[in-house]
Amino acid sequence: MALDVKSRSKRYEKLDFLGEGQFATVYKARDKTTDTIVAIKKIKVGHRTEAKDGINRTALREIKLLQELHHPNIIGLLDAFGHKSNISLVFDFMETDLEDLKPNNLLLDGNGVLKLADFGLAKAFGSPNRVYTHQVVTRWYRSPELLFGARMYGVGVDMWAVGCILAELLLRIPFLAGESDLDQLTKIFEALGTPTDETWPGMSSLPDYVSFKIFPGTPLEHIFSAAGDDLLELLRGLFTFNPLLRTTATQALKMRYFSNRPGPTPGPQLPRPNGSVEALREKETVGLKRKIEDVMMKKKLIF
Amino acid sequence: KDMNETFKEKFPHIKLTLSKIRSLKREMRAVSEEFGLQPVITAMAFVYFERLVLQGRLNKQNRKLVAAACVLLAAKISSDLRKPEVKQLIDKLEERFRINRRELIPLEFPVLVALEMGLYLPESKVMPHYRRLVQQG
Repeated sequence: MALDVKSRSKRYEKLDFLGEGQFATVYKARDKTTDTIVAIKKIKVGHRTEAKDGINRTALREIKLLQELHHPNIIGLLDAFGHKSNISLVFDFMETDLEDLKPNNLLLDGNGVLKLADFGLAKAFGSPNRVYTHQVVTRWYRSPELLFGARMYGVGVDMWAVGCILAELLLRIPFLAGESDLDQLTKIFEALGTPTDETWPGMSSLPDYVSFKIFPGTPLEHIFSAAGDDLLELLRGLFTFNPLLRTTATQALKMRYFSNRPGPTPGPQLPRPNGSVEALREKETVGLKRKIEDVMMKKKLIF
Repeated sequence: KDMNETFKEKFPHIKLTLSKIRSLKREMRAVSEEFGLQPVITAMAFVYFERLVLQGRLNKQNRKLVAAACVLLAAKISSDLRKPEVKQLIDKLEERFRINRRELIPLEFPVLVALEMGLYLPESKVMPHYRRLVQQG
């Protein structure tokens, strides 16, 4: 059972520096035992004040949650080890770069499978009476209830973030890029119209509520001029102000956008940053089209 | 036969008596309750603690520090403690176990490593402790 930390860190050969965040540095490395490429996230030791209270809580929570979660769309934690006073987490290596739902935390693996990363602030779901901190989710993806200081919130905050990500995919730039929390709310209301206590009951009783100028909002079809009706319907659902009425993941998946043509590109055929897939894609396009047509035909026969 | 002797025969590698282990767990529970930690957190701390006991890692010198470190780790992972509250909890642990944070904090990391970073505990491991904690009222 004794853990030889030194040999554990020697197991990985550092290859490349991948990036640095507020709390961690990420390296590309080779696992010498399995000869696979991995990403190592080395969590920085807290500042002196933090170190006084021991190990950083966020790091501990991230480790625990990653050990708990096993899902094809969640980044896999392969190993965790401590060295001196650092904690290193070993992950599957992802093609795209490496605490919340924002494009930077959505990774694609070599097979084009989407993986969520960074669970530093994730919490066990559904704990009773749990009062959450409202300083979660990078501002641009933050829902209006979080910006108004809501402490009791639910999955709606993630669905709002999903809406922002979807919008960003369409626009290719962040949809609502506020420079402060108030500016964020202004940007939201300019685009979607200022909500009222009728459209969003309870809004004015939120802890940090401030009344805003009444903006009429811009019709979504003007903002997302290339989006079809089915996609606009989905966006409207995700950008519903009242969190209780906002489209849930289950509802979203049942919406027309996800069954209408064209079907999604199979993961392995998705373009990747290094472009090496392009050639592969060319080759397979013909066969793929036929496959998609086959699928569509079958669908038609059934429905 | 005395329960401590039976325990010793069964687990010769464990240097503590069963009575001592139980009394440490009582202290862990008392400090958790005093600080208002939920029983599930105490239950997790017990699982961590017993793992380390079974590994034969505890001795007369470190037993209180390890017990305190288990409570601290469980609390940090599972509750919404803010920074001042973590500090308060450490104060309470110092008081209850008559230890010093200068010894406790450096031990937190080796404890985590000894647990092989295995912080996540399946319900089946936590529930027996939890049930006992709640039933004992």
